[in-house]
Amino acid sequence: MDFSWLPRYSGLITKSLFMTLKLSGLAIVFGMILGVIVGVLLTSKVKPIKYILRAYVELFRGAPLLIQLFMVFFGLAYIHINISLSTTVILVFTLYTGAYVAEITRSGIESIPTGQWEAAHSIGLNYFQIMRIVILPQIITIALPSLIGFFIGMTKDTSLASIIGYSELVKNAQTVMTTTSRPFETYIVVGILYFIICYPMSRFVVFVEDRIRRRQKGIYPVNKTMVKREEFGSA
Amino acid sequence: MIELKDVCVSFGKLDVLKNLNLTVNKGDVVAVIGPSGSGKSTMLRAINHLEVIKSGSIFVDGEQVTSDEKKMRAIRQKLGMVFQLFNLFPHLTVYDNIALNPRLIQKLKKEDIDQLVDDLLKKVGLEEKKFSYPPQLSGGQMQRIAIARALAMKPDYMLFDEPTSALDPELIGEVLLVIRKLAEEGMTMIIVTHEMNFAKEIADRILMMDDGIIIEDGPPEEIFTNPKNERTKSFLRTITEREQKKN
Repeated sequence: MDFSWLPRYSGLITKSLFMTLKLSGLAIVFGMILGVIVGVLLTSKVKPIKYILRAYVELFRGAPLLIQLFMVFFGLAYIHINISLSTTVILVFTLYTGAYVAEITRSGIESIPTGQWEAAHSIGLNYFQIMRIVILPQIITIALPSLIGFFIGMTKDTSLASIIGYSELVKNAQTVMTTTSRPFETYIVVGILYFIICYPMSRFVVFVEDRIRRRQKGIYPVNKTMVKREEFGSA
Repeated sequence: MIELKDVCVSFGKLDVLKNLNLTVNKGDVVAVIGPSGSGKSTMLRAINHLEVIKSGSIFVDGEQVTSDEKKMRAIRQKLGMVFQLFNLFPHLTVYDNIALNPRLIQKLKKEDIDQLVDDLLKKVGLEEKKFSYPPQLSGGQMQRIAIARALAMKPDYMLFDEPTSALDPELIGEVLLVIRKLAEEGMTMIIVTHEMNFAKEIADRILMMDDGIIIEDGPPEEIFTNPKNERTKSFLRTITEREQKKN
């Protein structure tokens, strides 16, 4: 194996690493904002809003990410909307992330026992206060592991953006590879870089799960009996 | 005064409350008894608009219980509600659970909230649990905190929805003790309960419900020793037999 080319291309590789991080970072930030809003609205009682958002979520969860990239990339050109390639890619990854975060948020909200809503109503909180103070903070602890799991997968999927020409790690690796004729070594370097991004995230999940477990010792049995008893109902 | 006039509640095709009428005056301690499914909890929850009524009307101090959120919030401030399953917020400390209403609705000053929380924790005997999380507490402790949270609203009425039904037998006493203290202080209360002895002892009025209506309403001596209604008689007989079997 020959890595003697590496110093020559370190500038390009660093730049592409930054592009990958920028794409996944922005998709996480915007996708979270979009997803939490959509997720909350998915539990609302206003039917038209719910159906439209449901269609969005199903579309972006159901279609392959690569097809989404093609559809938006060519679709925008077709209707003569000119935005830069990098904006297009960030838009697609935001919509993709938003759909998943929305679904995680919705299922989280619905997993909170109705007694929490009733208690919050009975002490006079309004809808926004209940969401902000009672419901969403409880979901975060439940949903964080699956959220981060999704973010790890999404970060790896940013490699698909290379296909429409976004110069992230994989795209520039192809350039490096053709000029150095060292495909195996090039992809080893790229693989290690993805690992360096993703491994801390998966360690973070373990850390957070452990912290939650320790802080709220015994919380899960309590919640389970709550749900069970509520199924029986009380008249 | 809490008034229910011709109140009907249905769950789908099932009529849970059927033209129910009731007046509870300031200072009354009312215990609601009756078999499961008789509509006891539904009646209590309807007063707090946790169940929507199909017809009829409910008034709290002359203000009608309604779906109008703003008006309802003012009415709810007068009603402290305690649930069978406590419904404490598990991610907030005991202090924050109790302080939510004083902070967000009454908008009290921090020092006043601290004082209030300390007083209430002392009242329910759990001063040392101020910064614990609900999952770290026993069922009896959680219910006492839930009572403190309801009292923090400075309510005129307390509504108890089977406050001891989810508790292990050895933990029931500590919760009843707190409720008894409130009764002695003159708090107006409606308590849905299966604890007959407790009802007999602290209530000055017993409501016997069956099949969505109040079939008997009177002082405990009368209802427990000389019930008029056949169904009350058989209900009390079953309860007594069950309790004897337990002993």
